Amino acid sequence: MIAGHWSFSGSSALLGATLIAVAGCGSGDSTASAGASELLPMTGASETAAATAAPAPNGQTPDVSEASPPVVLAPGTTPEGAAPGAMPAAQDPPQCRFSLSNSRVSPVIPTVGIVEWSSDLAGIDSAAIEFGLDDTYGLKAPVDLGAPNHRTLLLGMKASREYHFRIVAGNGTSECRSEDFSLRTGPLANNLPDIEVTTNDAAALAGGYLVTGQYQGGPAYILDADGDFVWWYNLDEVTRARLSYDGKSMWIGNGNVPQRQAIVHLVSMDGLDDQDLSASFQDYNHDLAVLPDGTVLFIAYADGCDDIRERSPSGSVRTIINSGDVVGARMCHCNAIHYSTPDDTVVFSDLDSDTYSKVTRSGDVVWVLGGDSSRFTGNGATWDNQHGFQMLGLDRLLIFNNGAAGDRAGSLAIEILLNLNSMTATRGFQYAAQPAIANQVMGDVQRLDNGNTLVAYSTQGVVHEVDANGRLLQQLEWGLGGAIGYVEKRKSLYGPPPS
Amino acid sequence: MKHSPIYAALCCTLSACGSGGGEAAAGPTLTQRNDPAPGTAADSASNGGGSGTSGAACAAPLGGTEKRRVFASEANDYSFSSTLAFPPVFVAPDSELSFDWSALSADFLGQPLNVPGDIDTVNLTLWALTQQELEAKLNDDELTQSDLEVIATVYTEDVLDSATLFDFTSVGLPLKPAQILPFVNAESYDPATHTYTLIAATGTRLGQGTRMIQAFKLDPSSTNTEVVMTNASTKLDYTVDLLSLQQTELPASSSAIQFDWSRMTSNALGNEFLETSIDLAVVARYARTPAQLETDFLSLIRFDGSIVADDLWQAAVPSGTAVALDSLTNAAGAPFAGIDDTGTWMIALFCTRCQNPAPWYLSFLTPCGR
Repeated sequence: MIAGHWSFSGSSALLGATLIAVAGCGSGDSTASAGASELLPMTGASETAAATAAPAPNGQTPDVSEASPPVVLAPGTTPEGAAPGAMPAAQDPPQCRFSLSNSRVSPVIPTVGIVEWSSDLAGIDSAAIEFGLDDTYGLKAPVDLGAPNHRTLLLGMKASREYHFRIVAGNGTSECRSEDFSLRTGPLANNLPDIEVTTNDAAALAGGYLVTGQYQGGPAYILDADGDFVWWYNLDEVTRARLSYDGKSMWIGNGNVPQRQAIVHLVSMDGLDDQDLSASFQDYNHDLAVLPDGTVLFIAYADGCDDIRERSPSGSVRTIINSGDVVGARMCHCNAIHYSTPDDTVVFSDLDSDTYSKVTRSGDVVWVLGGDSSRFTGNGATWDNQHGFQMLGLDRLLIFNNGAAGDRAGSLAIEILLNLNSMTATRGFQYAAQPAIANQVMGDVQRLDNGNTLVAYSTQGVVHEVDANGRLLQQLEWGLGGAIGYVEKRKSLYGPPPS
Repeated sequence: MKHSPIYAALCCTLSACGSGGGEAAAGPTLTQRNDPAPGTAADSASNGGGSGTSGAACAAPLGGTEKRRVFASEANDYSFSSTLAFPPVFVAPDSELSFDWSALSADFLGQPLNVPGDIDTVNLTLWALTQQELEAKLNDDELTQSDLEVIATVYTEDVLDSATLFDFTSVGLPLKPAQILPFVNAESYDPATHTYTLIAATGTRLGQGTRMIQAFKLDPSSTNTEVVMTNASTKLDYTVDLLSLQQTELPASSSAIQFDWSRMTSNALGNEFLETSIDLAVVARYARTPAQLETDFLSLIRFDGSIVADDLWQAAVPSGTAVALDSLTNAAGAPFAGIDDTGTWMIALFCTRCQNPAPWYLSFLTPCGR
């Protein structure tokens, strides 16, 4: 008899087209383009075997059988949003021609579009790709003008949907818009977690994307405002998934509790480049944070008390401080770390001492909040058990307070106001789910752009978005097995993290 | 000093079909049906050409590298239903409870079990559910993560066959009495609305490899502090019908076939067929007849989610709603080359993350025209 075990391997979907598209030069309005776009097969493209021509904007299958001469569309480019009459009179409207050399979805993450293009617009100094589920677009991908073929990723798309996109390029005085193109995303990975979304007030939500991962079993993933998966990448036991500061890659780290094997990967957002950097994150556990220069802060196991370390972009690692030296303890359990941009400091959480501590990157202690070694007094300096947090400035922070073991009152999100002169800490905003949710491990919080607060009961598989009055606006609930790690919500999947 | 509180994540499958109570070594109960004689229905289905899929599958050979597409359908699918029971024992709250699994010799599927060697972890879980709710939600694949209050673990190291409450750990870290005793307090966790389970498992992955489940509940009037796991701790009753399905015809000795489940609307368990839930496809060959396989159904699925067959080919399905049968391979890495008229051939589709390990789809395969 043969006993066959589940084993996971196999190919990923490869969808999309490799095309040359000769498109129109817009004149500030894509609908003004006079001619039909031409989509031509790209000779020698590696993806041709699986490529499928993207439908033309009118829904017709584009003619890919014969190379037609480029169509130069109606000139008359105007600055975006300006009436044609606003054009400098002396300027000849440029004739713009866009060549689309690659338009497909990632074979690894088929909700990520990959577009490569060029244009004969002289002196391009800005460009973006607008994209969305119809030709009103709504999403925008900035173009790195230094990237080969202006290679641009379209991020935040849902699975198995037809997306429209167009290229918008400017040269300081004029702006060209390409014809409308389309791209079909591939299917969801099978067996992603089940998430039930209950929205009480859609209009009051902050929107944006939720970046997180499964603490048990992986993967790391991103949900859009509807709770739909728009990005995922398989690594095991994810407690932290965080975009790199430039937004081009995803840092993914495992919990590694208790210490077994640190796992830290840097995965390009198209999933095509997976750097296993675990060796240079030796002893990593729980959490990492990104700095503008590419440095990564992380927690590392050390004898008794964890180290707070930083890894430079070159890969060198140094210890900033040992957490035991901060709180005067011999046993610690650090579980969350953040970078404080305004004063270039590091803030970390130690569960064992019930503390958050701020240290400079040279290892000087700025303050300790909570526990027996607190430098603050007041009702904001006392709690029992905590995990994720967010610095809201130099004088306030938002924390996830797990609560004592067996405490049926449930976990809390607490905003703490710091008076750095009197060294007092005062509780401000506070949220407790009704009915109470007691989350013993992990847990995270985030103040959102519109003043809402995100509260992640991580290992209970529940995320709440609440308004400033503590009104529950939306709940995400995971099925059994849906213990998640830390969370971060972003308005955009491009550029630096939320401040 | 403190340690991390009890870890509250139960991952993935709970190998659901468990149940307790009953007599020792009772094993799973198969409800007998009044079905046609073994083989009859299968034969007629074969003659009838299945659900219409076989027409395409058995059509004239295609040219080039094009694959035939065969659609799964409800008419070709088997049916399965089950109920669970794991009656609780009652214990005194706020006590250093003791747990003993040394008497186990068979798991809830009735398969042999050696203790302590086969048991790697024992998990203590607290559910915010009544006994009936837990049994029903587990059986119906409706448990949510938030149903689970806490979980703590003992690693047996192939040595332990018993433990006390204070031996349990949270995410690998020891728990002090003050950290775990609050979770066995009847005032905090009302026995009327909370249920504990002791889960013995092979492997260390939480929620996987379940071999037996023993429930217990707090009872302030009880002085009992012992929870003993036996072969009868979990009782599974199930009904399976492999003989009413229409067999699926495929060309003999050909694997250039896309097997497609995009048209399925309900699975063999009677639930919605969520097409992205399928993550494993299997083709198996048995010397046994369909009727024998029906009788021995649970022996086909092992506790760890593996499949037992005389010959077996399988492939993970990372995405999509179809699988190329020539992508399935056996343990030696050899690709599936098609069926023949020897033995009984089966195709099965699994949702390995689901709590109930029964395949969502299972059909017998028969060569065209046979």
